[in-house]
Amino acid sequence: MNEIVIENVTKKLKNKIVLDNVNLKFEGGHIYGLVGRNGSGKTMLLRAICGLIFPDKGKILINGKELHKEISFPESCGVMIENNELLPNFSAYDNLKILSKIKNTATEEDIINTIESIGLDPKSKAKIKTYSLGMKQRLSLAQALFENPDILLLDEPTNALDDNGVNTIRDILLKEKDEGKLIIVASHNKEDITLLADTIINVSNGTFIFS
Amino acid sequence: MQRIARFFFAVALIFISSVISINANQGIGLTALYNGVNVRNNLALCLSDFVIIAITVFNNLGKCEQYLFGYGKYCLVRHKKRDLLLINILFKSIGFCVIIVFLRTIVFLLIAKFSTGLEFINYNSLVNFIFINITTLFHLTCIQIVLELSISSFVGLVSSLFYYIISVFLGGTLISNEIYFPLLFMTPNFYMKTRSDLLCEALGLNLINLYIILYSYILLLTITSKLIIKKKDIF
Repeated sequence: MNEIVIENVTKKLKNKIVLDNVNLKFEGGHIYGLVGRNGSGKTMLLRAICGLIFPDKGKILINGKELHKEISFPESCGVMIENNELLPNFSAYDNLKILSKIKNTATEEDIINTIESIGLDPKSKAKIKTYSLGMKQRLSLAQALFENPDILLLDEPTNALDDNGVNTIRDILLKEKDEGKLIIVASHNKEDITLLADTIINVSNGTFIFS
Repeated sequence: MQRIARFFFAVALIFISSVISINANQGIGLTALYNGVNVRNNLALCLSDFVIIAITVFNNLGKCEQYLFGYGKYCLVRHKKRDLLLINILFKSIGFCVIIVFLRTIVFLLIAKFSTGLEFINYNSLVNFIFINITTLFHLTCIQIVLELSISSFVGLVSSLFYYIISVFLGGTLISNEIYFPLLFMTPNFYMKTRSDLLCEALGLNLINLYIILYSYILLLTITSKLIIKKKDIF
């Protein structure tokens, strides 16, 4: 069973507390929605969980393993980072193919199926720089999904997406949830979060409260 | 395709650098390779050696920093550990240093054979040159990596190039004035036989001592870069 435990995590940046003594527990088979204003701490928590930043205090346990002690990054985790940047001069397929060579867990079929599932054409040779913002967003989600990770950390996944796009993401996340994945979605848009998540956490000034 | 083009560009630069070096050392053929820049800081010799340093430093540019921004973050989080990624980068850098030094030596040998001949090769000096040149280039790479991780790739690039320039020019001036101790901190002088022989004689050292000094610096820099990458917040 996938589990993330956050114990007494605090993070300060330039004398501002961005994560304030956070205590949370996340379990697989759920979609958690972090909702709050810009600068409230949602993205910072996701960055802390995926190992990009170090808490000043406290610890984060991913499936029982302590982050930054036993592991540097969650072992099976798909991450969709805000202001994502994929390689502009490569196609959708080539972008994922290059990433797949790091872990070597995803097959060509996985890449093709994932790109198709988010509504893009895997056979298209069009370079990412010609994509619209919505298409780039979809591809960024595909990047998080294609290796079939146990944990998904998605930051503002519905940005620049139309209603159809949001519904596509919702269907994908529900399917992933049914497979026991642990999904955390962050957004400033409460409507989208309500549509996507089954558990809502309100974020304000680095504090996290279950709704 | 880009890699092949870069490789041939590097070979062309090495060729030009070797021609400059041989022309500036008329009559001594291959010995120009391992003698390096003379004590008088001959500009042509400095330039020919600088080309190799520049190729190395520019090749290293951004190799660490790429993982700290944008697309690189997607690559970074797919690795098991941060320091394993660093070790991967360091091994690739050593590989590049080996390739560039051997390439330089082969190109130099070929040009020297057809221009001045190879009658006076000192194979011992040549082998020593190859290994200490690789080690010194790797030391420079480690300096660049530490600065790239802690500040930026631009600072790493400029600082590495300046370190080489200052080491060579100041090194020549110091030797001319029979001041030797500071040269222990200016490692590009170590692979220039003219200079390293004078340094060793003055301070009672030998080649093994120079290697110990170099490896100490490399170890310190490697540990420093490991500590930086392990603790760095990536936004």
